[in-house]
Amino acid sequence: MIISRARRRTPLLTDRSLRPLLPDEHVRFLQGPVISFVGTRNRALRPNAAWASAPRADAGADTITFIMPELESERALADIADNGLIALTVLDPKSHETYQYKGRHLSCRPATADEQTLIDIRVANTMRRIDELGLRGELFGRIVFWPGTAITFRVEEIFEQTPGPNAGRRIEFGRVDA
Amino acid sequence: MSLARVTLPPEIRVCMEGGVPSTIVTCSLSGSPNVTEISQVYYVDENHVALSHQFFNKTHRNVRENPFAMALVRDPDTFQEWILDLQYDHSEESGPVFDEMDAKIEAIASMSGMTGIFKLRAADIYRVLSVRRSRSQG
Repeated sequence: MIISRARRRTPLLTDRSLRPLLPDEHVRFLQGPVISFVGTRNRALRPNAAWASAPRADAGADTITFIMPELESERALADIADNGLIALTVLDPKSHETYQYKGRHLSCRPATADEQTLIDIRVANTMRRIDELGLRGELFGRIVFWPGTAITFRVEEIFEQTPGPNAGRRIEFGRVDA
Repeated sequence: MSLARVTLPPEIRVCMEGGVPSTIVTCSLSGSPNVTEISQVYYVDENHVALSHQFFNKTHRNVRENPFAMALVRDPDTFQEWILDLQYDHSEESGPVFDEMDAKIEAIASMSGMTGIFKLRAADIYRVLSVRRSRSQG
């Protein structure tokens, strides 16, 4: 299912020179050996969770693109089409470092062949990371991530979720003056 | 919504022993979804599960505003996933369910090298609205 109508909220910052940027450490974190889930909700405020893979952010931008597998994504895609709200939680299974990125949908499209390759690489990296814990990384590899839908959203909030005293802390974005 | 009781299948119990983390998603009354990993979904009886209230107050807060939640639980041997639609019922800060959860959480923390970091504040009890096997493994 392709969502053709991107719902965009009026930007909080109308001056392009003051657009928030994702911190560099988050750009790097997202590209690491991570596990990710997307949370959505429908019009009746019923929540829904789905797997996500291969999250990535553009340095110097405030958007994240991830791939949602076709299997078990029907509710999430319908929710996104309805209200555009996305919560993406990304975690490192070894260090337990975890962040939640919340924002609004910008675009959805079928994932490309290049992205299929990216998923394969990223899943393999995460399986090795789980193996490092002495656990069975191959179990993670059983999740069918392909085919999928590439979803891009604009990040409006970042929350730390690493277990510990800072869990739930909102992380402020840097802003760049032109 | 049907008021018929949904019964958890026996084979789901292995997913609720803390072998692998579970995923929980809730939604605030203002409509913001919140998804997080939790160490354990606890089997209470064939119609109810409990979620541990530890650090993530957002989950705890959300279900008091809007009682609906979804949990993804996984078999630690096969990674077979189950999808549960839940409705928050009540919270327990003492008693047998709380005590058993507290002991298990401390054991999970010890296994993952995080002793002393996990602290159970309450056992949140949920009614199971629906349960089904995920197709995430094809």
